Amino acid sequence: MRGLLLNNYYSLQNTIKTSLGIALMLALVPLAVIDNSILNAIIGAQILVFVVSIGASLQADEASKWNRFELTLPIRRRTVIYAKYLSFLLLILMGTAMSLITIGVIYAKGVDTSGWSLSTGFTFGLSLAITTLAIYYPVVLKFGVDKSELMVMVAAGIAVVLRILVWLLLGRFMDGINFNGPETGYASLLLAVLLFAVSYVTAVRIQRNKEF
Amino acid sequence: MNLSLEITGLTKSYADSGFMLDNVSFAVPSGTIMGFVGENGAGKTTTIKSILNTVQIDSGTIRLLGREMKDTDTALREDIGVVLDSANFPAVLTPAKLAKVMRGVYKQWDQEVYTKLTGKFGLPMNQKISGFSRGMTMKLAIAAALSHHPKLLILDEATSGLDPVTREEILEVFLEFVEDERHAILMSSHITSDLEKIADYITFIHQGQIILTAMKDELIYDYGVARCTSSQFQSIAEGDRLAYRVREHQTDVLVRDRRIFEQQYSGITVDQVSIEEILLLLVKGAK
Repeated sequence: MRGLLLNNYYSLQNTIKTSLGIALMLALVPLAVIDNSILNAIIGAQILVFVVSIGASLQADEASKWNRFELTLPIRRRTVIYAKYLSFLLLILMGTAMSLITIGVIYAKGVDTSGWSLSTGFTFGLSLAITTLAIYYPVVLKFGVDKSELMVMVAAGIAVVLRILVWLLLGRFMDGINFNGPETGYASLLLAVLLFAVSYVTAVRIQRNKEF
Repeated sequence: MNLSLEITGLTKSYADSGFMLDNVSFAVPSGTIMGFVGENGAGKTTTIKSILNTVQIDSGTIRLLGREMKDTDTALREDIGVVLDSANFPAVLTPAKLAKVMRGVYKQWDQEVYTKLTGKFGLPMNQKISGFSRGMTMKLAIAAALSHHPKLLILDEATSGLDPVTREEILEVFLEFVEDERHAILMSSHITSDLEKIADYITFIHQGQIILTAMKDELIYDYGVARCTSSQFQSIAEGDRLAYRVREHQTDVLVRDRRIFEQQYSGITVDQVSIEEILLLLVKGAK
């Protein structure tokens, strides 16, 4: 298990470096522009940037046929998937940590944020990132990574559509529901976490029956 | 006799290609090397995938070190070293990083053995695998496969595409490995000369079926190829020939025991036969 996590880290190392660079640059934007909606967009983007380029490392693993080789190691198929999902969570955590730097920059600058809703960026970024991975990974596991980039975009698109559906659904039962409001955000995040759990179970099933 | 690998009645079919492994059976005794030979698409890799559980078999039993291996049998996989037709390691890794990954996977990982083998093969520890030649990647794969003290090595085309010097080095390592009577190797290869050097047994597979399994020494010292004129060929009883191939000026006939054949059919020249020639006669020839 530790070895698999380490291998996933090495495979993702370049992606992580690039994402860190982008996220750091985004963290500096509030030095020039101070606005609640921009800040939320930056926070969301900082979380999301860590997951959108994951396809490159999965493609590299498939090209080297590591996916087949790791089944010959003393680990269960389920463990391979477990390590993958744990790595995804670590990526999301890194993105979240980077977004905290942005908050730090804002506070360091002494901006009064009392009227701002900072949860929007976090819930938007987290729900989008988690849902994207939850949809993307089982699909590429089943059908291969050939159209990985397209699949990431489709999965991200579905994640946005799901947020819209959550907003519309909440609007039917509650008054004054805003698309960027905390209710929509937390409900979308909850849905994303549920999808992630379902995705894990689905991926384990696919992996159990997959022939390499 | 202890068997390190025993395959009985293995069948595996692919609906999309129509290819099928048909009732494949053979065994690898402990302390020996089994060469596994066949043309491209004969079923060698599918057999190896079936052994390694990377595909689901339709029927049959495969016993590794006396046990059937399921996904949950991680302890059994500690005892099996695998080298597939390429290195199969992510290109971003270096041998040093690979060792860290493997140490986190194998309980039996022995860093000392790994360092010794990578040193022996002259592999740079901090160079990315993406910059390695095929020979280097295969050496690395072999070093990794041997560094967790396996009892059974499964090699799929491990020496193909390598120069003779590198192959010689690798074959020496395999011979050292089977000096321990508890160890065994299943080695699929197109390079029959490698198998002639190190194998104890040879199994031939063709179109998904095992067509012959025999001791290598029997094949080389007992089997023979009779060079016949057409009239000589007509005189040979059907039961005395394993396969034959009609050529421009002669007919080559594969026979099981060339000395007995020579006594039985005086006047027919019988030559010693190579593994490659046996393969060609069995695959391209008629019965």
